[in-house]
Amino acid sequence: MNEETRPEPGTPEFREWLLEKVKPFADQLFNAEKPEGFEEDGYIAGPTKGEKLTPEKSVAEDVAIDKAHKRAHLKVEK
Amino acid sequence: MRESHRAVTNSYDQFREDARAVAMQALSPQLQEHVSLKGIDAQERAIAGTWEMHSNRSPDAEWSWEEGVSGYKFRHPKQFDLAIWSTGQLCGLSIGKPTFSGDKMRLDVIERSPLHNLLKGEVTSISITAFLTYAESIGANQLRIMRPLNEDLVRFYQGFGFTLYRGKASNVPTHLWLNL
Repeated sequence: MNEETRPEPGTPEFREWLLEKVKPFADQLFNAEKPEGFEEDGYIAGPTKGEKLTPEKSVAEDVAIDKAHKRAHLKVEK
Repeated sequence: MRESHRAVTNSYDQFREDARAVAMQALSPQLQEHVSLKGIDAQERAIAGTWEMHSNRSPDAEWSWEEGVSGYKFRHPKQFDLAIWSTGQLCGLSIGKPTFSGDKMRLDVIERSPLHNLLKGEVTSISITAFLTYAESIGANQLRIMRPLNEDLVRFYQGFGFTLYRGKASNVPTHLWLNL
């Protein structure tokens, strides 16, 4: 479904459209068997000691990651 | 709060509400029986404050839900926050926001309650489902899980199309990403 056929947010049609997009992936996730010890450590993702989540830092990260992805993509294309 | 800030917050409240409702429907039928998905408010922050003092919490954990969420939500009105409840127990929290360019979604923090709970092993998948839904709803084309801390977990999600970028430079942290 393209942007032109995207229903208005907040409507039942929008929620149906979203569900159609995410349900197949979610079904795969929830049907898969998790390995032993999965999520053993409750702190699953996030900054560790000495790292801060500041808006300034996250903007710099976003820009650097976009560049890194582009470089990685170029390497694949060679 | 400026009027423009309030307007963005209010308009994205609808996206957040839609994403949590739809993610709920996307859960497995077994999970739907006992899980509920909400935003992170005062009650959740207070409970998470006790997690932060729990002996089971990783000593490396830097993020504080109790101290960090209000500022994060205020500074990023397009953010998405998720509280995962099961049978009256807060089992997991996650928070993230669109990237600077607005076309990608970051999942900045995921944490499972250090207490015994029914959702151990499912908190990440529930968070990913909800963030994926939010990302789709705002038109983002990529989901990034920032700073994943468990190798088993990384391998598991690589099996579902996520790619690992192992960060070397300080401003490119390790992350998993998935194009939508």
